[in-house]
Amino acid sequence: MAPAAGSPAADPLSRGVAIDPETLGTTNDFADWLSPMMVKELRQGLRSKSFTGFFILTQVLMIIGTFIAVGSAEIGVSDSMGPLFIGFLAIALLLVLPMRGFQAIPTEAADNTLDLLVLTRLQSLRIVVGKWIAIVAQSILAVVSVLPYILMRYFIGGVDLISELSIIAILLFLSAVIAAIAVGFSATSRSTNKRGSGILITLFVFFGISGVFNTLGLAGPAYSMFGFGLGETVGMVAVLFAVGGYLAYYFLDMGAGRMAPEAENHSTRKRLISLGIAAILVILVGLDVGDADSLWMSLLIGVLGLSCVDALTERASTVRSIFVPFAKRKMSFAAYFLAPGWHTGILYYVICYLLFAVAAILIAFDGASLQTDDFLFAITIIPAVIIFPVALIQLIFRSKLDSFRIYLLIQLFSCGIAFVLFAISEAQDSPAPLFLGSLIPHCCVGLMSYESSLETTACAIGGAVFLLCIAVILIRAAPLFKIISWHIKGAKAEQQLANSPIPTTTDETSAP
Amino acid sequence: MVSDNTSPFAHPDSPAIEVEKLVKSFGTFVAVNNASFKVPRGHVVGFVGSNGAGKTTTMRILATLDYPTSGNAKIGGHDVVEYPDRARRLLGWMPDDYGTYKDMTGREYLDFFARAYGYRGEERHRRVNDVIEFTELNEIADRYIDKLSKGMGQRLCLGRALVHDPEILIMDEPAAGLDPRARIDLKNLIRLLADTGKTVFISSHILSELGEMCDSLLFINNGTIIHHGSADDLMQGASAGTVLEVQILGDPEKLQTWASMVPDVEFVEATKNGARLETTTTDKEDLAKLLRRMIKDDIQVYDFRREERRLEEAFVDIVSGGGKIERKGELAAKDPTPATETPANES
Repeated sequence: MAPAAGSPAADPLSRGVAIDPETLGTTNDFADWLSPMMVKELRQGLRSKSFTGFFILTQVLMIIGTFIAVGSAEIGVSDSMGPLFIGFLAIALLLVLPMRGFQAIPTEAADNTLDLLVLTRLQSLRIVVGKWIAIVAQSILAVVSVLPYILMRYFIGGVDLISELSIIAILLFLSAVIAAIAVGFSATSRSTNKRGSGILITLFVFFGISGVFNTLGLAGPAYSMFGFGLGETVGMVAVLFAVGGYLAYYFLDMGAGRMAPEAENHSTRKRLISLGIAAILVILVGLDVGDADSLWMSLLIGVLGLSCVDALTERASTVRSIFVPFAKRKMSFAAYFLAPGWHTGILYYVICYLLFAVAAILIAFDGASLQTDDFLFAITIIPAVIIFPVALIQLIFRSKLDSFRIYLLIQLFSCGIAFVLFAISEAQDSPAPLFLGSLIPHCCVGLMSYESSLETTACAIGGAVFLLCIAVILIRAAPLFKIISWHIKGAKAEQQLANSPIPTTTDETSAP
Repeated sequence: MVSDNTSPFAHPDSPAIEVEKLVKSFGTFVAVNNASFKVPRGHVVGFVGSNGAGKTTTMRILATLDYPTSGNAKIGGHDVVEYPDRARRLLGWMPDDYGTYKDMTGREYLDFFARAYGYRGEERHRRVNDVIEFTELNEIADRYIDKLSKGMGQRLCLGRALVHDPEILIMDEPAAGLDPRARIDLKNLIRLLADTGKTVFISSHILSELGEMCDSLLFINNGTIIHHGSADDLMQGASAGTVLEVQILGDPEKLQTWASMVPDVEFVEATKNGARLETTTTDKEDLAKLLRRMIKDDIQVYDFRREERRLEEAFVDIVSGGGKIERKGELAAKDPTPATETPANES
């Protein structure tokens, strides 16, 4: 083989090595401007049977729909295809196309190509984002392919074009968000047998979004059967886009973090962004903006809940290079709650809890009414429900790699147990079964709904479980905190040496 | 010593691969146990061990795909855990399980990886074409990968590992499942790579092939490095002396009589036209003197050869714990530098 023109080390994608632009050749190919991952995924995706089949089916249904619309117009009946048309698109965009995201990383693992991908210069975030963009591009292609039929129906008459296009735009956006969640989630495990959980989560997201639409008053009467429609509340749509954008970003970065080597830090950025958003939401709660405390509070729980669950289920990183930037920026203390890993996640969780407690206090003491039970519920049982599976993971499933999925499973089982105990309590007309299971904080939720006199007791048990879980996790994390401290001391010492006037050798630590 | 900022190696004298007290455990199972060795740049080193010995685990750690429980592993002087991106720049990884996209052609596959390594435009095309030419895939480059034979697939995989022109190639059982012809082709490709100065760290079960192509062999058993030395070392055997197989014209008993008269030579057994003799020396000059004496003593020798063990036998001996080589292997494991840096001197 002829030797390469230059060393691959001169690649601009490489970090810390001099760049020799001659090595890489010039960009004279359109595809060179695009992400390699996206080009590959599009190439494979457009060839796949599922996309081809879906595309043909769409065209057939749209042609039939158009004929029906033409027939309806001729006999003077108004457009009856609207809900069906949008319904089909909703299923396609919110279920069928993003569903492929759940297989994004497991398929690479099954083909034994994931290792090969991570060894290239493609960073894990570029791999995940490339896969996501390819799915979004296919969704856009699907939408573009049905636009002519919308126009035809418009010219036939009886179609509110702006309304329909707006709905499609929102569907497309939600499709992109669900695809991001799916791709990010797929990176939490390399096992290929996750189709079932993927389907469940997609259904959950699909119906969740329908619920959000209805809650936000976006459901229009014309499309009520699917729960979608264009409302007038521009502010609510803006919130929806902001939440969607955050979710898409978060899951993609989470997926990238799960795939990345230990030496890559994806956690600090995620945690700082989440804390920033949470702080804004607390301010919104405090100022009672839009008279929508419950909405801001729900979003706060969502943002903090997601970031905490992610942080508490991360792989613990004890690689020295992770802690060097903290020491260099004289922010060593931040490493204890912003560095990657569940062990720092517990301190991050405590910070989030304090932020949440501030918001809860602001709401509870809002005006003359002091809603003590709600406040207690918010600061005891909700945090206990979030952290309980993490404590179990640390006690029982420490060696398992896909903690995020185990976390979800434990949540599911806990909810199931609480539901069964609640049903038994109802049947026996006694709270005893719920008390028996009250070490599972989900049962405390059951106790609160069972009888109002038990609310304080339930909160007390929930609070105790919460503190117990924190203690268990902190005990488990203690040795890892020692390692952090040791690394930071080492990094500081190296920095002092590097800053000293005595000439030192250049080594790994001082290399760019 | 100041690092060269344009060199992918951490230091000008960094070995290609350096492993120090490497341990990898899965629960209570220790897959790699205190392994230490070095592979100098430009060497081809065979990594030998039975199934489950710890070869793949060690190789995956070196390829930055897995993390050690303790100890260090460096590629070109870069720690694989602390600086995986730097180590990866030097690495070409070829797993035992191919890793191909079946719905792509060979050319598209290589093109994708060239893009993924950051090459663009003409340079990318040139690299892909070079690799196709080197691996002799010209005729089938535009076929879909699922239509390729295993041998062709393996060559494509090698091409993929070479597309960014890495300094160090780690190959895990590349010849597994290949037919004899494909194995020979692969062996020739590896030889060519060695000639261009690449460091190749290769594991295989086919010891005879490794013996031919490797500068040294590294034996691992139950996660522990038990020997590191040249193939010649192993084939000479564990004994302190040399076994000779001699064929002569005339009565074979003459050879037995001769052996009884010569000091340091022992008759082992008679063969059809001669005998197997054992001498206490391994020195080549002493062996030449012995042959000269035989001829001087009017023994009509027409075949005189030093008996070598097959690598497989040597491997079994070492694994089963017998012989002097194992003791040397233990030393190599404890202090790998002399054995690995100058494997040729040992023989």
